[in-house]
This record gives sequence, structure tokens and C-alpha cells, in this order.
Amino acid sequence: MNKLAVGLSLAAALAVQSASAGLHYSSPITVSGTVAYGQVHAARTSGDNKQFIGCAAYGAVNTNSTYVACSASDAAGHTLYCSTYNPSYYVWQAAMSVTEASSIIINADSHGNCIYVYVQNASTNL
Amino acid sequence: MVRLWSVCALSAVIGIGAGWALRGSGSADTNESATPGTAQVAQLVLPQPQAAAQSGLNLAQLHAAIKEELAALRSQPANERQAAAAAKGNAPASPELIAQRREAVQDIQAMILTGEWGNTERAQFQQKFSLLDPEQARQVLQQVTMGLNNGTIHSQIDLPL
Repeated sequence: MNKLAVGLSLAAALAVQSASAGLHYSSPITVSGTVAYGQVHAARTSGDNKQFIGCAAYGAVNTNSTYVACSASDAAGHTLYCSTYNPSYYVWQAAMSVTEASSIIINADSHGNCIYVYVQNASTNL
Repeated sequence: MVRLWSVCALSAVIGIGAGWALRGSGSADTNESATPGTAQVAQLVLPQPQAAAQSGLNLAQLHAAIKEELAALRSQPANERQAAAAAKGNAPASPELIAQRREAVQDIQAMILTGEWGNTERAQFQQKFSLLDPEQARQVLQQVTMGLNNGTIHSQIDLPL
């Protein structure tokens, strides 16, 4: 019975190992001045309960005003918020392409405007 | 079918003629080798630049003007183009809408002053944001963002906007 339990545990461990195999980089969230970067997955699975990074987009049928907003927080609790009023199509697309597999770089100016939003989606980010 | 062929033939004639006209004075040398058909087309199309010249414009000037317009459009930021387009297309706001907008701005300012920003504030902000004119919307968005960054607004949520 014990042998069976050990065998099952080993098999499960190997299965998990196999599922998470592959090239992988871990990049926790870093906030430095008006720049923030890091991986969504690394932030979500961090143990500090502070890290996050992400973007949102606003649109409504009764207005021509839209915006994209992004924010990030590192493990120490440093935060960066940026927003862009009526962003270009490209900024909008970048912000809305964020997934769990994303690595994001946000850069803001001194007024909190998002200067650029870089999104990279890759298996290595998971 | 006949109509389609007619359209195609007419398009071809116009295209050939325009190409011929764009070649300018240098194209005169090739008239000798052109077929009688193309020569007739050239005769039909060549008067066009003359008409343009009579109106005080030539093709080079037209090209330059078009290039200038396109360059100006490309250099203008997207949000300015949208604001300009909106300003052109929008009728003047009614007194009622102006009052609604004023009230919406005041409400957002009051929310900023509380210093706390959660799901409720985000929802209210977005509701009122839709009422604002482009300049008001740009300003309040920036105020909230700057407030979040300088710490006068404490966000209770990860994406407060």
C-alpha cells in the first residue's frame, strides 16, 4: 500500500514537472520612477500579496472619449499609474493584448500619461 | 456585361491618358512609336494639363499641395485629430448638457478630494466621464492619474481607472 502511494506521488510529481517544463524566465514587477515592468504570471503567483500589473480600456457608446489606463505595483508596494486619453489604435491594441502570458513595460510621463505600453506574450512568461 | 466592358475600357483610357499626361513634355518623343489608338488618347488627354495651367495650377504644384496636406495629417497626434473631428462634427452643447457636464466635473473633483478610490469610485467616474467634453475628460483623467501617482488618492483596487 505504501509502495503504491509512493509510486503515485512520484508519478504525480513527474507529471507536474513535465507540465511546467520548457524555457521559462521569471520577472517580478519592478516600479522605478515612471517606468514599471514585469510579468503578469509572476505577479499573480508571487507570495507578497502586493504585486500586480495590468491595463484597462474604456469606451462607451454615448461618447467619443476613450482611455487606456495601466498600473503596476512591486513587492515593496511602489505603484505606478498611467492613462492615455483617446489613445492611438496601437496603444489600445497593446493594452488589450495583455494575457496571463504577458510581460509588460509601462512608461509614463510626469503628468501620468502613458508614453508607451509594451506587451510581449510568450510561453516563457508562464 | 457590355456595361462592365465599357467601364473597364473607359478606366483604361483614363489611366493611359493620365499616365501620358504625367510624363510631361518628355513624352512627346514617344508619340512616333505610339499606336494610332494611343496617339488619339493622348490627344484627348493632353489638354487637361493645359486647363490646369489656365486655372493657375500645374501637376507639380498639385502634387506638392497634396504631399503637404498628408504630411501635416501624419504629424498631428491622433487625439488632436479626433478632437478636431469631433469639434467639427458636434453641434454646440445645449445649456442642459453644459450643466450636466459641470455637475459631472464637480462630482469627480469631490471624489478626488475624498482621497479614496475603489470600485464604486471607478464606476461613478466612468459614468460621469462619458458626459464630459473632450477637454474636460482629458483633464479629469489626468487629475485622477496624477493623484494616484502622487499619493493624494489611495487606490483600493489594482486598476482604478
